[in-house]
Amino acid sequence: MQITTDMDLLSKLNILSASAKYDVACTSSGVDRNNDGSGTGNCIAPGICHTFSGDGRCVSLLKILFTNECIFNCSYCINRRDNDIVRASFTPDEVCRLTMEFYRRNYIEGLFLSSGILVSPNYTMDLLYQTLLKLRREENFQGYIHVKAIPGADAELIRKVGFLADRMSVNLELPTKESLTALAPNKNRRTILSPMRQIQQGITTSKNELMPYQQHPQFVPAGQSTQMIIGATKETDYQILSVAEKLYQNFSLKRVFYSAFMNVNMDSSLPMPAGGPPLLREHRLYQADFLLRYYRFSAEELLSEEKPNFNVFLDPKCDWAIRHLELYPVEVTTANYNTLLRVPGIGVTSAKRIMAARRQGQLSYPALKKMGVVLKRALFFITLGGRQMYPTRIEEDYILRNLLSDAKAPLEVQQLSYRQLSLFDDMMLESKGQNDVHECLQEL
Amino acid sequence: MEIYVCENTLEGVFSAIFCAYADRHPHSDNKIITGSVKNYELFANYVPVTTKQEHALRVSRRLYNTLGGEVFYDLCAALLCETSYATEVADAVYHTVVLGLSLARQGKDGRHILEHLTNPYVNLVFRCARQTKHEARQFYGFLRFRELSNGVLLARFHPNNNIITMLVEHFDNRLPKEAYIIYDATHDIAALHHPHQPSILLSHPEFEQEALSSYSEQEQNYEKLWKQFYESIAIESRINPALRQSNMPKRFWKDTVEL
Repeated sequence: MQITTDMDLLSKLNILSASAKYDVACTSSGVDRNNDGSGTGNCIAPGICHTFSGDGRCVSLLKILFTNECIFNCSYCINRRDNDIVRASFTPDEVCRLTMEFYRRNYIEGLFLSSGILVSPNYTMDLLYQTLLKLRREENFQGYIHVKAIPGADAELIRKVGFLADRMSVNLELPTKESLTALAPNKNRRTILSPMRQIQQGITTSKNELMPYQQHPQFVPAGQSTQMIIGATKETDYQILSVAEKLYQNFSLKRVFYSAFMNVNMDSSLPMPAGGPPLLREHRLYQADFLLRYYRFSAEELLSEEKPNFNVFLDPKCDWAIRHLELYPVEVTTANYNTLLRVPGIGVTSAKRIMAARRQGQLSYPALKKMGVVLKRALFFITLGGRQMYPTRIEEDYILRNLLSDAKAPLEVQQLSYRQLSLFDDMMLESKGQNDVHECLQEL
Repeated sequence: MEIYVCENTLEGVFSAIFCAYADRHPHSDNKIITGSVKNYELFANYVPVTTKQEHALRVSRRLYNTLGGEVFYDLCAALLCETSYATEVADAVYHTVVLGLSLARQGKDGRHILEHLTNPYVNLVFRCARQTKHEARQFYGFLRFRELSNGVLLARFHPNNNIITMLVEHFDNRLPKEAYIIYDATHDIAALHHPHQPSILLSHPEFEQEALSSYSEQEQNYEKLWKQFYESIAIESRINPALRQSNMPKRFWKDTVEL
């Protein structure tokens, strides 16, 4: 049933923000831009969170769909063609007005504009383009804009939109070609990857411009991101992480987002996760994702064909350290940056602080603590001037017991009995498909 | 031992640093305290410092040139900190400055002074600056403007530290075309911004209360839209009040629209 009546802005906003909420990316990071004095808005590189919604996620951008009408029928999506839901569409004017009025009240950092596919991919992409053009040119909006590239839209349209947006994204949706064909029959890997490649090339060209003028519009200056659904299909963590790694390497993506699958359509062909969406799995993937991007880990180091899923009890970095005890303890006064990064309890910032501080004076354990090192985790893995903080054993069982007794176990595993604890058990993660990794890396 | 007693402002502390250098006593024996003396020490000579704009400017110029803009910004940020461990931050800034300038005199780079994190003075400055900058960053996001009936935007907020100057710097760049008032209710300081002009700071401003409480017709409408958006953007099956509260502690809630 599709009844489109004249709706007021409030109901439209209700419908179109509720339809957009499953898109994960709400970051406003990656670009530093001062206001030129004539318009409204600026951007700062780390991004700004403006509020946190009831699910604890950051709200940075006005995240809306342009329309929730859609000609595609992806089985995981709430807006699929077959669903009997109320449909609504904004006009470019309404989007501009909402953005500007929200922005000047400091509710938001900018606009996140996605859309269902109305009439055709090109028609929809053009609507998005008209909206952004109006916002940038007529309203002179200089804040952040994140826009979705619609799979299947013309390259020329995507190019034009890219010069107005700060970040673009095309959702990969599912890690393997087969899953994509099964769940999203109207999408295919090629229509997703070709705009991704085009945006990547556009960014490179724009960066290598010979005469970068201040006023010269930059192409997608904050880079591109993508999103994968976790837990709808049989892929293992190893496959998902390998795909993410390839995307970072070959498509120079800024971020890959993971979205714990929720069976919003009660579709019988899809799994119905008991106990809600697989949030812990999503969390572990994000942790591993940070290890790939900032800690110089590779997917093969963290997981393997034999151990394809993450440990539910321990974060991936602790897990890796405990499996490589031969490399520890690390002497903090002499270890290089890469080695420091691999110590649980030492992060990017504290590793940099240690590197700087040890040039200037003698380190001590209290000083390490004040620099931000989490000593209750790090103390098993480091020495300072040849001494441990207090005598510990470098043994798997000993360290594991101490790490776990201190940390609050994740909600999902609190019910499980600790007696059964074995590090390499995949406790609640039922056996996944045996697809090998190379299969999912095709075309990437 | 000389103890310099100065006003608790940037100018006050910089004037005290000026006096400490001018007196040429050994720096390691000196101390700077702000406000009034609570507990007198034996064998110490208390020197009251009068705040002089000229002295403060000379000190800040010297610091900016020798230690660099970033360090100077952090020193100022540290002095704006008002948390419990910040009571002796003025003294810590003084000794950090002494260390930085002496390094510079030895031909070393004073711009890395804040990396001496094992030095307790530097460490305190570093932690206070981090605290202030963090709170300013939070209010970049959590500050809310409301449109008054005359079109002026008004934001009222309750910070722990005296961060209004840092907010002004941000919003002057962000909303150059708007007329707005940012009012710090904890410290009773307001920043007034006229379109295309730098903001003016006013301490203990006297506003007409009626003018500040009549909002424009559109205001209620947009607040309603925002609350609607806030409600519908949350995913029911992931509701997590504890996570929300740790990301956005309750002290921020009273000044927002949506909570």
